[in-house]
Amino acid sequence: MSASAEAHYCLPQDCRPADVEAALGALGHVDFASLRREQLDVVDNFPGDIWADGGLLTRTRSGELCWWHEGRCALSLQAPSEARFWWEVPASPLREQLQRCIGLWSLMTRASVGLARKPLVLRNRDDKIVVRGEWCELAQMQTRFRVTALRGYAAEFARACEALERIGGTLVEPLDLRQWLGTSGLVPQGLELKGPYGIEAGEPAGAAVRRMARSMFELARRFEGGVIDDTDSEFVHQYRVSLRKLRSLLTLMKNTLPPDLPARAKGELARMAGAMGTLRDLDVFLLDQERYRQMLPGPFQPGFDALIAQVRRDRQRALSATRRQLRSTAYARRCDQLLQLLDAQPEYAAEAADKAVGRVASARILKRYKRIRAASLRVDASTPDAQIHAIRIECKKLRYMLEFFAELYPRSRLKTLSRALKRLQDVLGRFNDVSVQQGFLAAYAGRSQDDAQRAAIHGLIAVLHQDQLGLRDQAETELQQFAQDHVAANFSAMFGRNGA
Amino acid sequence: MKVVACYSMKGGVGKTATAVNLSYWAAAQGLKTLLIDLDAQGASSFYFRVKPGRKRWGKRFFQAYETLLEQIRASDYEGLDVLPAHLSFRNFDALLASLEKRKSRLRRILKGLRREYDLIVLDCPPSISHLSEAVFNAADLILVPVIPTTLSQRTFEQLLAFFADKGYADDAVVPFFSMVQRQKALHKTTMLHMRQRHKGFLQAVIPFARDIENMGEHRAPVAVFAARKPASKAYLALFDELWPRVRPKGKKR
Ligand SMILES: Nc1ncnc2c1ncn2[C@@H]1O[C@H](COP(=O)(O)OP(=O)(O)O)[C@@H](O)[C@H]1O
Ligand SMILES: [Mg+2]
Repeated sequence: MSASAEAHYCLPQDCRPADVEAALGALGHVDFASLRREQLDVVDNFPGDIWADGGLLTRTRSGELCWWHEGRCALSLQAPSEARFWWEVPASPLREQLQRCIGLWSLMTRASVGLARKPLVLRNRDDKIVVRGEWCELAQMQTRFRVTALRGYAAEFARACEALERIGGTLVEPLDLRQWLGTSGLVPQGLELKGPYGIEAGEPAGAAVRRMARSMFELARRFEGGVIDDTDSEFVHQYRVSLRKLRSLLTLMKNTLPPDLPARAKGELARMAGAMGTLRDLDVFLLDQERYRQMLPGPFQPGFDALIAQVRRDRQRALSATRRQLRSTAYARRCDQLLQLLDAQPEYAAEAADKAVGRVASARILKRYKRIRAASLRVDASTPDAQIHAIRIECKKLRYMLEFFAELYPRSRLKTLSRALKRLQDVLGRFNDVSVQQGFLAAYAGRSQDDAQRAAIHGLIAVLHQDQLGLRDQAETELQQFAQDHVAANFSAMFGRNGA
Repeated sequence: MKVVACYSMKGGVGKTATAVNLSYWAAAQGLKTLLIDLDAQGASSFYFRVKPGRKRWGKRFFQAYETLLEQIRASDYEGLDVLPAHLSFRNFDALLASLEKRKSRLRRILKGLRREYDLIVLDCPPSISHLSEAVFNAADLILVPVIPTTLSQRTFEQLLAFFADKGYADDAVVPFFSMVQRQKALHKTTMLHMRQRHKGFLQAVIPFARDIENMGEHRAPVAVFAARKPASKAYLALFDELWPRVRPKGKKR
């Protein structure tokens, strides 16, 4: 059967099914099926990454997930109604898409569209179906009618189309749900986790940095609700990341700000993050539990189960403490104070407050790179781990700087540098993670009264230590790469006095 | 693409009833199916409520498959199209007068449809003629309804003799019992006897059923108006049994 021809009509606002019935009734007998109402939820993670990526994911009340691509439902599947994370969706191409797009965030409903459909058939004198059609109302905002031609009945199809035009139907493109949602205003704005901050290279650095600080703080506060509701682990993570970036910004751009501001703001910020550090460590362990479980041979499993149970209890405690803290009046006061601090007119201008922010940022970035490069060139097999960790922290600061001020530089050139840095950071990050995890586990072993649990923990530590040795080698290689002449030349070209 | 012909030289044995219901089930089970009504009487076309165009196009039937495509109609059922019979199909025998044409024409024309269809079902007129020879050459399976009576048994054996005479392989011939009345002793003994004499009879049996007779009134396959009745299930069982022989490569149910 060759693809059947279809025509799509947009019907006037006041058009009812009875009008279509009357118009087509002149051509034969019209059979309208009963109206089927369905609710289509637009689902996405909290920042709206699927939507921002040009995608669309919908869920019906019966649990059918549908991934839209170029106007059609490209992937669909029936998911359990309680499925919120990518790993709770049955293994499928759709699940892979989800994993790629939403990360560790949970899915939530961001908009709902009511659809009313009413299929129709037109029959000839022999009671044979000659045209099919469907009436469709979208969120009570638009009424459409689709006419489908049947093979061998082209004349009837053409007459049905004419009849629809006579009642005011206008021929339109097939419905592109994403495009329509985009113009309907039903889908709320997503969240930008990494700027832009709306700064310009020539504006005074002091004002620009305060504005950036303010929007980072506002971003952090948008995660509070999800932390309190314990929606998913990303809220705690992103809250902490936002505050950490804010602290870094204040430190890195210190000499554009009044001398006491960074220290005072950082004091407030440290107290705000409070118990969330512990909460995050426990989350990281729980997120990785399946991987850890697979590292351990069978006999260690009961001990591992006991460890998980313990970590879960500890997490519940850390969550309660965090909730109490976020709801406290002290917290609210701290937030106000921080905002006042950022808004206050400085009594006297800081050293670099009036310099162009672009110049200040470039100088800082280049200086930081040079420092990392010099340190990297000194690294060899005898370098203590602590020194590698120090370089990792420098790299993180450099990464933040590149991210904070990204909008001041040509995107494509920045990307090349960011990619080189990212590769290095991935290795350094994993190197750090395994040592942090060993410390985390060692703390549990120290507290544990249970032999089986201790055995499981020591087993894990042994495996992690092996990983660490491998990663250390990789880290040395990546550091050499990042210190190469051509990388250095790129940094100079972009951030040096005569650069962009 | 497979071609299944519903054939018997006798009339009124259930060829059309089988062609209609078999194609319905094939489409319902996901095969893109075309039912070609080769019988100028147009009984299959009637059941599916499709009428042929006015043009006497029968004389061009064997020329190019594009001509056929223009005449195809969608049925009311997803995945099932029908090529309705035309009165001019009565002249097929004259068009197939030469042996060469009987051997290759129909087969070649049907091949042209393989991009669009998984299965073609031919509803044949009751005769042994040039057209039926063309059908024997074109079909992968020749489904033969046999009413379990002495006379039908004779007809069936005549068909086998014809096949032997012409040198056709008879493994394409798939007989099954049609319009069976279990309460009739004659039917029972004939079935037993024929199953012993001829190996290839299908296990599936189509009973004599009121619901099948009623298709004329409903103008629809049995499953549409008597879904749960034995007659409807019997045709599904028939299709199930044929499935391994009509299954497109790689297709699962
Ligand atoms: N299994 C059956 N039970 C009862 N009536 C049947 C059955 N099969 C066919 N008929 C009826 O017998 C008549 C002839 O059947 P049909 O399928 O048209 O035979 P053919 O195509 O072989 O000439 C039709 O009226 C049909 O409704
Ligand atoms: Mg017939």
